Amino acid sequence: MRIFRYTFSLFMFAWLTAGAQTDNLDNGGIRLGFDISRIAVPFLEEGRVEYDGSVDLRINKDLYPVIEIGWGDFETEGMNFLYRSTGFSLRTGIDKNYLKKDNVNNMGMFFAGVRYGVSFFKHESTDLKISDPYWGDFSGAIPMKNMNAHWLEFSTGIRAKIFNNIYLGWSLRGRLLLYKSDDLNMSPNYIPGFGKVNGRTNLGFRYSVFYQLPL
Amino acid sequence: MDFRRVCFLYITGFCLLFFSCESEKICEQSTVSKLNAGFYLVQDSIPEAASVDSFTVYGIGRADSLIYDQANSVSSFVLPLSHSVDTTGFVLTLGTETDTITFLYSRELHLLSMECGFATYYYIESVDNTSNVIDSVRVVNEKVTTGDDENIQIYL
Repeated sequence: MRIFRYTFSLFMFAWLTAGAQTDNLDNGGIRLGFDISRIAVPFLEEGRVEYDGSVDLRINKDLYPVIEIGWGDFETEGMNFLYRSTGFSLRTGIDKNYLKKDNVNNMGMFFAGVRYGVSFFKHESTDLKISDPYWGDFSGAIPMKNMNAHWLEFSTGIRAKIFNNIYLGWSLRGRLLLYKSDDLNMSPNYIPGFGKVNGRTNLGFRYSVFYQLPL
Repeated sequence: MDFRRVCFLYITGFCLLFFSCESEKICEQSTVSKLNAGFYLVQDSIPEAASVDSFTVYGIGRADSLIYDQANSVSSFVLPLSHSVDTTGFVLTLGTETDTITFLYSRELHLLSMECGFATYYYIESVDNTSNVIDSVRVVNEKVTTGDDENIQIYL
């Protein structure tokens, strides 16, 4: 319920700010973004820390190529072990804006887009214990191993100017895992940038603040 | 479509999404790897499942702890392989006759799932046995996991 209230207030904020678009005179088409919803992640899920930023660029009235860079670290307690996965992600793609703009310099958006994501990360298991009443309990570890993964990420959302060069917006992400490194001992439980691995698909949410470079 | 209407549609969609919360999962499978063995007799060159009476088994080095104790009508049984070393031996008594079987294998830790944890998978490399009552031992599936597939056939 707490999660619900938290997200609802974000929507209300987006809703209110969306109506507050003002004219502006700059021509800059490059925006830097920082995903502020990541700040809440460690509070919602213990052991999970993420940072995420983006650069997007307007190439014409409706098309915005984007690069997103993230870092993630996830530690969790499994049944008889501790698991840790940590590393970087890079997503590149393009968003198309469907919002009829009232001002060419306003980069407010209702968008849908696609990204190709790749992550380079490491994972390990420690404190691994298997109980064996006959031969005696076993304890061990799976040493840290370099892994990588690729996925397709579909995004949609809204973005609104709140004042001068500052924008706020949220987006919903649907991800489709295309490849993950093989590990005979364990399949990755968490891929930075992709999230928890539970099958091949995953849903995500981002709420970001953007700064439009004054060019 | 007007911007506010788009926002409204999105908000309702999101609310539905966040109601579908993740719940704690529990492990619903066997987490113990065991070697599955069956008894067979060859009759008219056709192998047939056999059952034995007064069947006793213990691990070599664990004579104080019987895995099966004078069990009757045993046609299949399971053996626990060691998680710590690459060889495990067992002493089998069938009635009044006794044989030993020793397995050589490689081990691999395998993550079943976060909620079930790790299990040891074994790959049988060779089997040594004495032949007082056992005729031969055949490995039919060298991979020993948490499943129920038969790994070895013991011919009497």
